[in-house]
Amino acid sequence: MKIISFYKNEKQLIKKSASGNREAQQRLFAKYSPKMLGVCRQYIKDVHFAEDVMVDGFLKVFTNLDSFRHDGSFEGWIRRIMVRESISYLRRKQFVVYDDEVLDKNGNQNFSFSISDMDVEHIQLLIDALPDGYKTVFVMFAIEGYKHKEISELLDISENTSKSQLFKARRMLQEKLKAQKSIGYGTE
Amino acid sequence: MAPNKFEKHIRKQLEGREIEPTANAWANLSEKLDIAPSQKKRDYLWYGIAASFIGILIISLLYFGLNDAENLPAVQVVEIDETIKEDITNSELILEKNANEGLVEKSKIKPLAKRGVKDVIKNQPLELKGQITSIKEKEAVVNLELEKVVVAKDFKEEIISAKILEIVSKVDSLEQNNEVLTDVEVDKLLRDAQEELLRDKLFKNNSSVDAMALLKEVEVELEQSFRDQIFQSLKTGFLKVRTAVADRNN
Repeated sequence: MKIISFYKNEKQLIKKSASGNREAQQRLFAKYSPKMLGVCRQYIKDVHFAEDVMVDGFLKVFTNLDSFRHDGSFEGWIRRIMVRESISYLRRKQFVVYDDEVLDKNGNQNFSFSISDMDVEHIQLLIDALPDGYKTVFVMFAIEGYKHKEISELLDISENTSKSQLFKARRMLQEKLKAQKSIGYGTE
Repeated sequence: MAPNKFEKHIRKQLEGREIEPTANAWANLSEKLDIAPSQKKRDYLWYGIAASFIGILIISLLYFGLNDAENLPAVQVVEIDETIKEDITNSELILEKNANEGLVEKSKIKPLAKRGVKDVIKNQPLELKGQITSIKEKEAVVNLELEKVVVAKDFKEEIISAKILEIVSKVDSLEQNNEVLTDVEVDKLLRDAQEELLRDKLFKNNSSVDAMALLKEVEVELEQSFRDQIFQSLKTGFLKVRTAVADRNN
């Protein structure tokens, strides 16, 4: 009970973790690892590889904890590290192939999906079915909320390539959903 | 290319998604943390290395700098010693040459030694108090040594004078006995006196100067001339006394 109250304050927990306190690190890991594994899983189909990537991500978190300035949220900071770590993993494995096709004029076309009854696992399966290049850009843009400029910088691709990959990912998802006889929704 | 409804729904669904890691995930991470040093520790290591390097550099500079400063005066001190030694040797030679005259004065020797020391001080690039003190100490020691030489010289003259008076009294006593002394006999008396002086090692025993060290440098020829000088001084003194006695009697 005393230990729990001692580590109540996250800032203090972070400070202790930065100084190498293993117990504090374990508590931070226990708190954030399920969410972060979810992040890594969005990019990496195999959950075991995703876990390895997450562990490597936490290793970077704890060894570079001094550089965290408490300007933004700690979760956001860890999340960004996990995204970068996942991208690095995909690059190392040479899974990602980006083509530089010209952006389709119909990139802003409306999608008509019926997703109200789709659970998380179903969505994840749809995303997993995308090629890694499409999937990475799609997850970064649609789920993590990165801008194309940021995506292009992180993936070392042009902004047009990022847009093209996103468009292709959307179209592919649309086709898959159509195949599942889904009912369409319009964009806002 | 704004996010559509489908994407918003996906985002909502996946954003809060949690997957529990396996039980050995933490053990795996803990093991990696044990191996990998933290950024902080690595930084401290580099800071430590840098600080050590700078420290060693400063200590080396100080050490060698001081050594240089110390070495420079040490060389100068050696020079002082040599100068003084030379002066003492020169003074000794002057004393020996003028032994018969007994004209060597303390004042003549002192400025000679002082001048040597002053020249050295002038040539010193660094005027450090300690060095000056050391030079002054050296000067004091040299003055003391020179005083001793002068005292020894005076003592030597006294002995020679005493010997002359002894010879004169001997000659007088022989003449009073109506014996006629030839020049050869007088010379013999003087030679005997000279031998006595040398045999007794008069100058050596009574001198507080390191005569051995100085005499080692004197060659045999010089020693011979020194003997002659003693003989000459005895003869001159004897003749003077004789002349003075003769004049008085007349």
